Amino acid sequence: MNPWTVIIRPHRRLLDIDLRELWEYRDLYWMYVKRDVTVAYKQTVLGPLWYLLQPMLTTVMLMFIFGGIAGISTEGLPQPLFYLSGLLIWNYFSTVLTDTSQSLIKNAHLLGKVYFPRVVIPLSIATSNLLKVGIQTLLLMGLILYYMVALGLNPVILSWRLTLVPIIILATGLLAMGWGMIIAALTAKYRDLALLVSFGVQLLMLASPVAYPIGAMPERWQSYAMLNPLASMIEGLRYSLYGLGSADIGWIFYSAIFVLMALAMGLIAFAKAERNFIDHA
Amino acid sequence: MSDCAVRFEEVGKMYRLGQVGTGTLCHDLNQWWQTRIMGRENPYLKVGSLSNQAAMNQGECVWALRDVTLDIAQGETVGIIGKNGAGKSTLLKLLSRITAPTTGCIKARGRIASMLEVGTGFHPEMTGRENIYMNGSIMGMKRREIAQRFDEIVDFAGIERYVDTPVKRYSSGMWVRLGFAVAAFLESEILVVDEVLAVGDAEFQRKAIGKLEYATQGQGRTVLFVSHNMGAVSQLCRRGLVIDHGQIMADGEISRAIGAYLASIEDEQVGEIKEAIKKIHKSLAVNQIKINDTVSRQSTLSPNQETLRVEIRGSSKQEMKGSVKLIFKTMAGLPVASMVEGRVTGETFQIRPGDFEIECEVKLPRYLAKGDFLIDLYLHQPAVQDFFFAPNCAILHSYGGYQEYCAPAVLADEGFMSLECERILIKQNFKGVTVC
Repeated sequence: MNPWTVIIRPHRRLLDIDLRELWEYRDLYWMYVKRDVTVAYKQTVLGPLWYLLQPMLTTVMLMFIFGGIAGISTEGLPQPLFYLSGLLIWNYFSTVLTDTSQSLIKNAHLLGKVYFPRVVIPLSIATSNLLKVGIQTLLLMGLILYYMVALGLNPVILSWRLTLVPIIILATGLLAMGWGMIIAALTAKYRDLALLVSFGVQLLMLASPVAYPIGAMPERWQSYAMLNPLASMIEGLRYSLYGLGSADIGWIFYSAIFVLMALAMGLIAFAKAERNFIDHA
Repeated sequence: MSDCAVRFEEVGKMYRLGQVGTGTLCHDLNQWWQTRIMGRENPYLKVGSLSNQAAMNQGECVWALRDVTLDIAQGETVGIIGKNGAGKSTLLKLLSRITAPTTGCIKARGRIASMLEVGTGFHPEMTGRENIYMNGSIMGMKRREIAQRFDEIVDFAGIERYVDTPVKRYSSGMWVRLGFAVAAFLESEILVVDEVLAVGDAEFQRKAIGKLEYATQGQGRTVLFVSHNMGAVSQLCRRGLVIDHGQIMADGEISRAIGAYLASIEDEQVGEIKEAIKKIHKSLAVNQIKINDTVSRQSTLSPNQETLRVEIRGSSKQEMKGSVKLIFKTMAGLPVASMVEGRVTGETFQIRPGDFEIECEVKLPRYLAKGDFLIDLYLHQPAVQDFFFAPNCAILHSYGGYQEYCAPAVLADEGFMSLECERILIKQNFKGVTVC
């Protein structure tokens, strides 16, 4: 007699991810990624241009408020380059976090009818949003070229440190996914948390060095600001691109641990929530 | 002895009742503290309670399914029948891994495809082609497998011309057909089907049953099928499982299972009609209901009876506009006729505060079929609200309307009533002369 291929039990192990099963569903993962990218701008006039327009407008706004009215320093870097690099990380983080945190509730109808490894959804969200990151990176590169050719500046430091850029972006994605899954698991049961998320994300943007460098803060506040792992990501990106600020090995280590913890907790909470979430929905 | 495809071992599923909202975090913490830390019994779990009305009113938690142990052999087709809320769908949800069991364990051999609702997961902005791939992947198919089956799926759904049209422009029929086709052509060993035949037209239902028959007989797939359509169940399934209050009440050959189910409905029909009232407006009290001149839940329509009398006595605390609604159903729950005069004509009567007595006579068709009818009785304001409703409140045994020497129509074969013929004519040529 063949062995059982499916065993459904009430209590499973704490971190229960069936990697083989996830691999079986890789086609679904790609379908989701493709769908998110194509559907997002179907029936819109400007189409993928929105990917460009949104960071451009935000940059202009930040230049006006933080650079202009508040007069906060950008450590000698042209303002657009400074803000755009911060936004690159921030936009990726906030979109993945928000979308992931809603992933269970938004798909409740589907999840109530069909089984598939639920982790596919957050994974595909983190992946499909990489496209936006790519487009924004192109925008940033275009801007850098403009500064080099038209204004004769050379903001980017070519060194091995540029290889850190993809690692920082990946870590941002994982961090957002981890937190998103924790929130998704909690909101599945306690709906009021969903309201807190949009509010919290707004506050978090101000607490992260998107529109200001950590170095512009009073010294005694700096280490508190660095407790936010996003600070390391944004500062790290500016460090590896433009050589701004400094990279402290302690904080890098802290962020790495933080990301891994968030991811592990997210996976545990998500796996626990997905099994009974539909009873509350 | 054939291989066992699905095995349920003492499977139970508990649901928490009431609103999840204020206080649940507190409940959760308390439950966690009591069970995990203090090692006590779960304070919110009522032991031995079943999902009946009494338990629902008392306990905070309820067992939708309790200690279900079951073996299903490879290639077997099992029809699962039972009343609404008996636990049929919970059983399928557990097997489909949509929700996890509270106790016990379910084991299965092979892939499980579930059709709990067709067309879920379709994205309206995407074309039929994209959705076939999307939906197939959701159900665990590989791209390659879908590509192989693509033409068959499109053909079965009959949407050749619209493959590249966004599905939001599809008619609801096309939507359902496409959804069913994708699921039906899945290469899974176990197929879980819940009430999908309730949607779609007769043509689709015929095609769908044919496809399911092929899946079981032609391909040897194991099928679990939930439906209220006893005809479809008995056509498709060999084995029947009657679920009642979360437990298996009967298990065996399909016609016996259906018999046991129908008998269980009839057994419940004791006592007075007014006890069947499920929901009632707060300012309304009903003292007595008579259907066919009796308060008892079973009565007999005499042959050629022309009218059915319904009497409702009660009192009201407020003024309301009402009308009586009556639904005739077969014992399997399929509605066959209704009297919703108020909705048709827009006429209602006025109930003033105080005692009232409503008398209503329903004109029965001249050739009523022979058989048993279940009655749902409502007092309602048409299209606005129900003041009370009493589902399955009475059984009418009908001898049918018939003329001397002629048998009446039979409910199961010929429907609710026979139509009266207004005029019949035969024309023949006889030696060049037309004779009428």
